[in-house]
Order: sequence, then structure tokens, then C-alpha cells
Amino acid sequence: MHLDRLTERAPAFLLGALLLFLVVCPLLSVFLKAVVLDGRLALSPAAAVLGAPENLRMIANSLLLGVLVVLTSTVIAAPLAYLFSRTDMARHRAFDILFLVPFMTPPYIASMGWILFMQKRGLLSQLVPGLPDGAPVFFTLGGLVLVMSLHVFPFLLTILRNAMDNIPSSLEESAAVLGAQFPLRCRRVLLPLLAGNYAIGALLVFVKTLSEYGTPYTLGRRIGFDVFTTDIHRYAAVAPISFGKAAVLASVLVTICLLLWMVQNAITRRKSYRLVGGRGVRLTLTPLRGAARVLAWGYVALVLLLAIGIPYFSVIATSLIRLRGYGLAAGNFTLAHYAELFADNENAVSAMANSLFLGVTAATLCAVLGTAVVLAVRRARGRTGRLLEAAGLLPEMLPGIVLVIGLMLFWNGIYDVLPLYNTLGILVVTYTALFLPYTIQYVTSSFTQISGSLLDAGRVFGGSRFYIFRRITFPLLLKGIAAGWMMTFIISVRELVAPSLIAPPNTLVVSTYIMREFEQGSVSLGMCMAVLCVGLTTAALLALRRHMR
Amino acid sequence: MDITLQHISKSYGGKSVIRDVSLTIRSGSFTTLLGPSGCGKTTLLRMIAGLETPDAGEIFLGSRCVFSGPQGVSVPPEARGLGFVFQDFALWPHMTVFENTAFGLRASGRTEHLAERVRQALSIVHLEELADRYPHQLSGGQQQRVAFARAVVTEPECILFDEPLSALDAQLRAEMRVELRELVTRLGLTAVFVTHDQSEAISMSDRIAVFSAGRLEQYDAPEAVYSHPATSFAAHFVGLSNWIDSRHFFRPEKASLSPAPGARAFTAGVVSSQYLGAGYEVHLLCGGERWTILSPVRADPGASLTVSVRPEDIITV
Repeated sequence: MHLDRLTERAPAFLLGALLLFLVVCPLLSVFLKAVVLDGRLALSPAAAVLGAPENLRMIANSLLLGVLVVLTSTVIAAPLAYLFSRTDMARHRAFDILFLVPFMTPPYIASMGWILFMQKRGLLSQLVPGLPDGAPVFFTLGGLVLVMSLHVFPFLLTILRNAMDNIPSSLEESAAVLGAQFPLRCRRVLLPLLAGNYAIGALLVFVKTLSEYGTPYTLGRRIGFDVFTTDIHRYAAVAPISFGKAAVLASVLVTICLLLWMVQNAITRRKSYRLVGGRGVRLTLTPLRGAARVLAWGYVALVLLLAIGIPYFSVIATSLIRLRGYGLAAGNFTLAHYAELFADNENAVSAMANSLFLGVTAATLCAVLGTAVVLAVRRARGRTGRLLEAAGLLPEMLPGIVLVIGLMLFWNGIYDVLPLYNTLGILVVTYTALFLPYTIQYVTSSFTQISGSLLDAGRVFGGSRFYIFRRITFPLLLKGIAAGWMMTFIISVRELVAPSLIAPPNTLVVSTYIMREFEQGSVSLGMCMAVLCVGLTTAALLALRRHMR
Repeated sequence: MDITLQHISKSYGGKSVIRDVSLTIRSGSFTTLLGPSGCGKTTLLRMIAGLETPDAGEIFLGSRCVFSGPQGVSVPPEARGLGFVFQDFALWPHMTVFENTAFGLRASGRTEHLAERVRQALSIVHLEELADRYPHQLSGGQQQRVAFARAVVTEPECILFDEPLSALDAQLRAEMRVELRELVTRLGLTAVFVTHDQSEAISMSDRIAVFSAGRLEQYDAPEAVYSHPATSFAAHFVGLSNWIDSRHFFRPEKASLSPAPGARAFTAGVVSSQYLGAGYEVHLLCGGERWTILSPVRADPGASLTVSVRPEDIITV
């Protein structure tokens, strides 16, 4: 009996121990590093770091950036959400995918595209020679906010549009019949009903902006706009290195993010008007005619031009330009850079090999570990299950850079026991910890689609527990596991913050290769790599979306 | 206020949903638009309210033209001043019963004696006590009543109902039929009521307009539609019909199992019979047609019955 219970619980404990090493201990390491000096609690160094004027300015910068990106992405997304939920434009489903492309594009690559386009003697001035130099306008806080908003607005668009799709048209129509004009209908009916969802979306955008590293690193640094992520990176990777300062800032960042998550949760629980009854929601699509139609499509075209057109054009054009001095001119285009990427270019080839290796390994580990966590959570239920699930999902709520710092500190500390630090192995560990939530979420969602009666039926017809798992549960979970694997692979190949902090010396992956070539090598080579990386992974993401339908 | 529709038509993506419908709804009458789903009845109602735009034709509320294809008139719903009760009630979940009801008065700036007028509208439907509740705290029947109060508080001359009873369960539906009809009569409103339920239509209406595939099949009093259907569709859709051949039929209650002088007699086989309390509903097979008749006594499946129908009870379409 006792032994039975032990074997019953053993898997949960084993997984718990693994998650302790991957997530919990590293995170605690960050907090400890921030407030413990020489084995004693010491708050004054932390206070000193937070009191330093440059750090206060940085915190103000970060919060300001967050607010501005929320506002700007709202301005971009709200009209689109209305057009694609309430007017006949909603019939064009292809735009669902098109609007996801900016969100799927790694932010550092989109930023590079914008920099190449707007910089002095950049692609814009080559396209339109007479134009006054746009660089002074673009290389400002405004430019940074624009580029970050163009990345994140699809997220808000999806939230707002889904929320609108759940509001039956009859709620607006009844207001119209009772004499309310469009502005009043928006103010009294549509906006109050959207407020809860919008608050959640805005908070998530804020957290995403605070956590974002790629754009502040590529574009923000050029204009001297420091934020949490860039400062944490600087303290942890650039001499003079100070892990203590990095840990203090990381602790503050993580606290802000967790607080916002809690607010978000509270809103989710409180709002939720019971909108939808048993029947489906009927939506009336208003046909757009004449000027309204032209205006609407013009707006869509403008957003797509800014969010996809300019960055993709810049990246692709730069990868094809023979001599950058001659710019966009007939005869100055070549595929030679692509050939160079593969031929006698040890760095590029090894970067690709490293990224593929890391992608496959991390995806496989996540698939195994994530599935095991979901199964254990289902088995254990109760508090053990909730703790296990929370630990597994925690990385998704944290800014990636915080967990990476934690993993650095923790695995550095246990180097004598497990000498993984400074090898490719530490990257495998980091990626697995960072991306485990994707598999857990995909597999959980597959699990919830398996109704209990399917398993009951298996038992009624005489299947043993293992047989039922093998023939019923596992095949039904497989779709979720495969999706988790693919997702982990894709984001592993693109990941920037982890390798730029924790990769062993002279070990490049795709993202750090692109970054290095962009900053001090051949920009065209870097952009070739970017095209390959984005092309392959975006294609894979779109295939994944199809698969999950 | 008469509602006049003239030569209304509408198609979606090449598919005709309303085909040249002309109809005058008399002031003060309770008129039902009846037909199967997809026949265009709801679209027509929404056109009267201004929620859909016809491709062609004209719509008049009294003498006021609210839509005209040839003259390019199209008055938006907020300027038509009608009442509308939606199928899903469409109560705003973030407003109390009071605020839901007050909306139309506030929207049109008629805020004088607002509270009093709202209370009055709620008292008509016996909901004064629940003014501070939110819609999700109400039962289906109460939500229905709020939807009605909200539609009448602005004192429209005409109120439109889009299948308002279909979201309720069977017993409540039967109660609300009586209640709604009484309220409409008491307030002296012109009512246009859309339903696919023929028994609802027959029991509530002064006039029934039967639609099929976007065409008006018959427009008449319920008694006339029942006893003199203009088309075979109307005969099939309203009431049960026992067909003798493709043009002649009789209603179940007209059949007798005892021979009568001068009556036509048919021999039919019993398929099944159901006890309904007041009697039996017997399903027969006669010459390949399925018939339903009422019988005071049980009939066993497989038995053969002689059904008598007086010639004047046989309806020709």
C-alpha cells in the first residue's frame, strides 16, 4: 500500500526536482544575488543600485516606453479590429494570417530592416533621392515606439477582434433602433463591453514591451535609450561586469511583471459579462461603400506597408545588394552573399549547425518533459499538481532575460557538481527552461479536448491503464505534442537574448551571427542569414497554424 | 400607423432572399410574418427597422418614406422611431434593468420624468422590483419582459418582434404568447411578429403573411389561411394536412370514423397511434400518403379504418 503510493507519486517528485533545477532555483538565485552579499542579507547595495540616477532614469524610460507602445499599438489595432469584426472586410480571412506576420517576425530583424531603411544614405533616400534625411526623425523615442508597436499590435488586434466577435450585433442594433447614433453606440455599448478584454490586452502588451530585448538592443541603444533589458544585459555581459547590479534590476523587472500579471488575473476573474448564451453569436457585417471603403482599405495597406513592407523590403534588398556604396541600382544585385554564407564561411555554417542542433534538442526535451508534466499534473491534481504546473508555466510569465540571468547564476554556482556552464549544454538547458510552457500549453489544450467518456469507454471495453494510454490518450495528445515541438524548434532557432548572454565564447548561433555581422561585419551576409531564418521559421509557423486548425 | 412595403427585393451574392414583396400592415393590427428558416421573414422585419437595406422597392411608415430605391432614400434605424424585440433579447449585460430600459429615452434626449417613465414601463411587465438587477440575474422570461419594456418606453407606434419566444422553454413560451398579445392590445400598438412556429402565428395574429423562399405566398386572417390556403405551400406549412391527391386535402379534425350520409369514405391502414389525453392521434397510410386524424378510441397498428370526410371539408388549392 505504502509502496504503491510511492510509485504513484515518484514521477511527480522527479519532475518537480527537474523543474527546481530549470526554473525555480535559477529564479531564486536572481533574488538572492540581489540582496545577499558574502552570505549575509544586505539591502544597501540593492538600494544603492536603485537610487543611482542613471538607473532611475532607466526605470522611468522603461515605463514610459511601455505606456507609449500600449497607446500606439492601440491606435493601430483598434480600427483594424472594428473593420475586421463588424464590416464586410471580415470576409477576407487571408488578412488574419497577414496581420500575424509582423508578430512572428523576430523583433531584432524587423528593427534592423527599419534601421537600414531610415539611416543616413539608407534605402529610403536611395528610393526617393530628393527626400530630406529621415534619420533625425526616426532615430528618436518616437521611432523606437513605432517599431515596437508595429511588432506587437497584432497581439492586441487578435484580442480586440475576438472580443468584438463575441459581442452579438444585436446589442448594437438594439441601441440603434432606440435612437442612438454611432458615437453613442460606441460609447455606451461597444466600449464598456470591450473594456475588460482591452485592459488585459494592454497589460500584456506592457509586459511584453518591458520584457523585449531585441528592439531596444538594436535600435534603442543607438539613440541612447536604455531600458531594463539592455541594462541587465550590459551589467551581465559587458565589462565591468556586475552580476549584483544585473540581479537587482532583474528582480525589479520581474516584480513589476508579476504584479501586472496579478492585476491581469484579477480583471479576468472580475469582468466577464456573460455575453454568450447557448446559441452562436450572430454578427451583421456592415457593407463598406465609396469613400469609407477606400479609406478602410487604404488604412490596411498603410499598416501592412509599415509593419511588413518596409522591414522585409530592407532586409531582402540588403541581402541582394552587391556593393552597398552603389545602393539600389540595376546591375547591383547578386545572390553571391547567399553562396558566401555556405561556402568557406565557418562562422555562418557553424552558427546554423548550432541553431539546428539546439532547436532539435530543446524541442525534443520540451516535448518529453512538457508531456510528462501535463500527465503528472492530471494524475496528481490538488496542490502538488498546481505547483508543478505553475513551475512549468512560470517562464512564460517572466521576461526571458531574467530567467537567463538566473540560469547563469545558478549553473555557474553548481559548476563543480554539474560542469555544464560554458558548454553548448547550458544553452540546451536554457532553451528547455524558456520554452517548456509552449509544450505544456499545447498538450494541456489537447488534453482538455479528450472527454472523460472516451477513456471510460476504453475501460468498459476492457483496456488496461497502459493500453488505454497507448491506444487512446497518447494518439489524441500527439497533435499537441507535435505542435509544441514545432513551436519550440522555431523560437529556438530565432532566440537572441539567451545566446547573447550565456553562449560559450566564440560559439555563434543564427541570431548572434546576424547581430555580429550587422554591427561589425558584412551587413549583407547578416541579412542573408536573416532572410533564411525568417523565411524558414515563418513558413513553419504558418504550417503549424494550419495543422492546429 | 400603416406600414407599407412596395416591391421589395434583396439578394446576397447572387442569391435572392426577398423576391418582389408588397405588403401593407394595417395600423393597430398584430401581423405575423410566418415561414420556415431562410424564407426571408427576418430580413424583411430588419428592413422595416432599417437594420438591412433592400436592393429595390420602397418602405413607408405611415405616410413617411423611410426607404426608396428609386429616390435614394434610406433612413437609418436610429431615426425611424420603432420598437424592436430581438430574438436573443439583446439586453446590454453591463447595464441594470433600469438603465437598459432608460436607454432609448436617454439616447433621444427625452430625460424629463425619466425615472417615472422607466418605472411605468417596467410596471407594465411587472418588473419594478427588479430595476437594479443585471440581465444575467434574471430568468429567461424576465429578460424577455425587460426587452419588451425597453421597446415600449419610448412610446413607438409600432413594435417589431424577431422570434422573441424561440429562446424560451416550451411552457414559458406558451405563457408569454398570451402575455405579449395582451400587452400589445392594451397599449394599442401596431405589432409585426416574425416566427417559424405556425401555432404561434395562428394563435396570436390578426393577420398572417406566409413566406416561402423570399416570396409572399398568402396574406390573410389566420382562419382564412387555415381553411382556405392560397397555395400548396401554405396548406402544408399551416396546420396538419391530409392529402387526397396533389390538389385536395382535409384537416385532421374534419375526419370522422363513423359513416355520414353524403360523405366521401376512404379506407386507410393504421401505422401508429399516440394517446394525447383528450383522445388519440392516429397516423394512417392511404394511397401512399401519410394522414393524421383524431380519434376518441385507440386504433391498433396494422388495422384498417374507414375515414369519412364531408365534401365541403375537402379543401382545393
